Amino acid sequence: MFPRSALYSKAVGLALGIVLAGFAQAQDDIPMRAMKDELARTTAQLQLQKMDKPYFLAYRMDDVNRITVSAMLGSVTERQPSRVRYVGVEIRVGDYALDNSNYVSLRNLGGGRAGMFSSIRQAPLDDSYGQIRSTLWMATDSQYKKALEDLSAKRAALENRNHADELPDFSKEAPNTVAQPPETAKANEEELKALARALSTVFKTAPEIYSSSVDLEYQNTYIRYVNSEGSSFTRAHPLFRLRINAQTQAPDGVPIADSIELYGRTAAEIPAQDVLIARTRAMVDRILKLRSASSMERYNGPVLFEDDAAGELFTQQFATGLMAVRTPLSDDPRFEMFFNQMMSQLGGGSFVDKIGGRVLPEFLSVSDNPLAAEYKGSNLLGAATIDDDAVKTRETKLVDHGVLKTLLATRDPVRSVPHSTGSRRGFGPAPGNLFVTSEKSSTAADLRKELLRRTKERGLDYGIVVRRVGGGAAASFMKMASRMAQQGGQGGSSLAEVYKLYPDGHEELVKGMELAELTPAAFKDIVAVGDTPVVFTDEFIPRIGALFSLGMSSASDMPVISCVVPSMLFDDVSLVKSPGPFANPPISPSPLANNKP
Amino acid sequence: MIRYCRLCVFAILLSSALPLAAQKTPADPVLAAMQQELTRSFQNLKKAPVPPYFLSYQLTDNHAIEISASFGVLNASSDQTTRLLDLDLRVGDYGLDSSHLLRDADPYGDFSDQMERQRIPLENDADALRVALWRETERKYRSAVQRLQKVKANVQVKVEAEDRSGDFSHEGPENYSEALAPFSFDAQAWERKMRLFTAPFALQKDIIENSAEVIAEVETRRYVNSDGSQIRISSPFYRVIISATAKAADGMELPLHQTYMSFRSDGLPDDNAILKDVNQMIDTLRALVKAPLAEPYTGPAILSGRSSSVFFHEIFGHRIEGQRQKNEDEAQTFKKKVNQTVLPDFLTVYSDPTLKALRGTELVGYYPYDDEGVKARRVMVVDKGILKNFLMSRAPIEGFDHSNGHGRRQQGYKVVARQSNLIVESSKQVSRAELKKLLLEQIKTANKPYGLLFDDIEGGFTFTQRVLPNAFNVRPTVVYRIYPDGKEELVRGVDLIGTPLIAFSKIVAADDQVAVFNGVCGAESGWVQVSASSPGILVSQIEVQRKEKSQERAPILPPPPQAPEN
Repeated sequence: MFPRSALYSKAVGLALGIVLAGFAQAQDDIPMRAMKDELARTTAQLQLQKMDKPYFLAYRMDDVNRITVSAMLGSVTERQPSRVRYVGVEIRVGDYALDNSNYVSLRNLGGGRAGMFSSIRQAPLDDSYGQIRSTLWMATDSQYKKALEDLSAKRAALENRNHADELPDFSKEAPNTVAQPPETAKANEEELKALARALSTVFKTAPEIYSSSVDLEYQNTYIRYVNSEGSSFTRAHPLFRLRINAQTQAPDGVPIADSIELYGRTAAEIPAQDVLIARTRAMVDRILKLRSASSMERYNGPVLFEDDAAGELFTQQFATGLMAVRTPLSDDPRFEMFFNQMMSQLGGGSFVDKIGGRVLPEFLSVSDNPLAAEYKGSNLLGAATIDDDAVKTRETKLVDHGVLKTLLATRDPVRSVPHSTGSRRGFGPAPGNLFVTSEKSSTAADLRKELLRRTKERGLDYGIVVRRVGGGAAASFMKMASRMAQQGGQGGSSLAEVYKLYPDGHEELVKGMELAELTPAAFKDIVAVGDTPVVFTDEFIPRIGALFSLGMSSASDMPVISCVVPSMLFDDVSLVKSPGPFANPPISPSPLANNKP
Repeated sequence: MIRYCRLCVFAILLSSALPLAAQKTPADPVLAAMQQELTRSFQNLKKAPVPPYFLSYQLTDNHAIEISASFGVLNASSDQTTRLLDLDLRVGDYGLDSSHLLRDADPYGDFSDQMERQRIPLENDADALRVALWRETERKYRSAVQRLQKVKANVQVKVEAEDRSGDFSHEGPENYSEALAPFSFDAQAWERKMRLFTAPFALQKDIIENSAEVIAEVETRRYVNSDGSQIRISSPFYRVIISATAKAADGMELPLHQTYMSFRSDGLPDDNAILKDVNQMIDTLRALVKAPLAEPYTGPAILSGRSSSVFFHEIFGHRIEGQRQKNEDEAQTFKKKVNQTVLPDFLTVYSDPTLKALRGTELVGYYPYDDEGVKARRVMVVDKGILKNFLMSRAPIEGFDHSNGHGRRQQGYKVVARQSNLIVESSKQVSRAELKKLLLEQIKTANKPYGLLFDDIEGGFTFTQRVLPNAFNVRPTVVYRIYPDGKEELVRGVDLIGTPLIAFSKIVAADDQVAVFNGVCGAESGWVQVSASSPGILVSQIEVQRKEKSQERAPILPPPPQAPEN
């Protein structure tokens, strides 16, 4: 499916390999020189009267080159090239045991110079040594003043309470240096437009599909980082993204949506145009079938999540629990209570209390490995050698034979996870590439047999196969909003592609179904998995708690991760009909209806 | 009720007759697709149980290049093309329709149009355009039907409205087409210019923030409605905004702005003229940093032409916008004052969107047709001190049944009546020197230690609603104290405040130094370009209050070196 992928991953290997050559080049880099010089001056001299000096300082610069092209029905709806540069400042006063981080004052929740995102500023595009230093100087000054105020407020808040949590605020990690050259692949606007037009034209033949869109985006980010512990890195982040969305309604009003979402480091990693057109056509056919498909009230019984559906379910409902996130301290204890409630609503909370306990069946293990660049010819998008805290990435065994061993962490320690696992990506911890491995596995055919056997045992006429969950292909903001809106963080996800599987082996498409409730605990009841895992790549929506940690992030999007997950058979899952109410179908038919022969 | 019913019959006749008349196909393929889909959708929806009586589409094409720099280096450079749809669909009738204000029910207004935008093809493929228009028509139709239900209930449960005029005015069809405007802009040359204009600020240690921004855009608006109107307007627009902020030793931030705007690619000043203004800004900022703080004060003052332009725009212009006379949350300062004296008899005020320039200065509030497809026209608002008219969109108010071409909006907002070019003229003019003499007399009469001169101004704001005091705040940037002996002293740190009716009654004279203030104005219907023009005026009493002040301590470390060592 990805014919060019093998070739490309060699290129990536090469890029990661020429560390020494790249480093020589970085010495002449004006922005890096300006960052290092200003960091040295600040570390040596910045102190307000008798107050604390900073004990840790880091600067980061993100050069973001982005081009987005969208189209509908063969016509471009948006074209937007942009080039921006951000700088971020992370400053810590106090010491590793107790510093200004992980503290939320209600006064900081707003915007402005003391606001939550005040550590990120736009910087000049020109490589001006003086103006880059000036921008860092101004940003550092206001962040230092904010840090002093936060630390003293945090100390005061701690004095007022019996705080059992004696965790240090910042873990000590060995310094690292990595120099990776920028990605030189450029996107050609005219080529992107041509592709967007070609793919979106497919929908012109289907007036029954009320709205459709194709979005292409190439974002090439180059990050420079330096900190006062002696770490520095440069890292390229090219990311090509393709989304095809289609929405319509069945004649009875039930909404039907489907999407294709593909990621690659560059456009060359996305399948060729004719392959994409064929996939879009297949999606159109599926939607047209869905419009006339039947519906059902509810289903309780065994469900097989096949291929991408398993990957999507696993990343959204299970993997978010594998991140170590602390509850921020606040000047108002009610905020912490509210925060914890909100956290559990948004994603069932972290697994931090489950370390040492069983979270999956004994035959399953999970590990994160950002060092892997491909899996059986498919690229893994979470590959990196160094994380956003300049900690070396590594393989982390998270679940061993069903038992949770540790969580993915940044330098903000949590109970039982005292050190970073090299997992800061953006605002907080995120996986790179997750691998679900199994001691026993079944062929696709055997999984279906097993599904039918269990169906029969339960006295049901048919089993359910979910081939795509279909939460993908929305903009990250919309995804986050929709995930936050899901009460309890589980369930409520509508399913894009659901089939009834009958004992004679024939399948029947079902429309308008949702996952009623699927808690992370339900993953313990996986009864069998497939023998051919597939790579599922998506944006990772971080836990909101990470927003309050000090780490810098560019204003870029959520991290994109890859998961290698086999098909999964659950013994008992509830599906319900989407509750509605639904709007009536349009009064006028589509203007395209007149063109149809 | 009888009135509504008669209008209702009339409305149906009118709207079913006109679309047929408008079925000619325009040569512009986009306008043609708009017309086709409008006719088709309108006719299809007419068969629904609650039919629409009015439908309009406006597509706004915008190609904008924005470049900004500060302290001699480039900050951002972008090039963006957009096409946005504004769609007005009304169910009900001209007397009472789905747009009717819900009293006590819409405290924050309706933001759904900003939240949910239909994607619109930038290219001129008729099928794609028509699908986009169809989707939005269906969506707007649903929400209009729902809203009409709410409107009907709201009218029943609330007290009878004071102003019983209808919701929408009858206007005839308009046909107007401009050629597509050419657009030429050398982005690389302007990147160089932006660096050039901001470099001098880098040498000033008191200047903490600085930016220069150029926005070059070409905008084409296409409009069709079910009255049979077809309009195409196309124009480029260029503006340069230079800002710099100095910080005084006490933390006070002192901003200055310089703006240049033109509809012509060659209408902006040349590099030398802009650099001269930049150096003037730097001189003023350096003087301001050292200037003494002004104290709260009440007494006589001169507002220069630029200052009084902003003064009239804020305290007068916003209060003659038609819908403010109808909405019962508004203070309606002038509602009952038609044909009464509201200003000194030597002042005449009119709003004229058809004026492209005044005394050689371009007026950016120019437009040939408003956003409801109504032809722009000059409106005499105050004739020799007597209030004559309001600025009207198609929302009627008591005694004013028709639009006078002032329905305006930023794309994505609902149209309301807005200002265009507000021109204040005085039949009595004295020279600037004589105006100052008059000020000195006022100072003596009022027994004040000094008077004030507001020379430049960055903008202002005003509250027109009842829930807050009906005050204004005009934000001067360059203010002088004028002592009885005529000596002038630059001061800093005050805002000009007051309430409208008292302020108007204190205007005593005007000079012959007419100035133009070009700017953008933000209100319910978003940001629109406006101009105001006025002579300098003498006011027998104004009030100033202290400006807000930053509490941020100056940076701890000195500025870093601008070049690497060795």
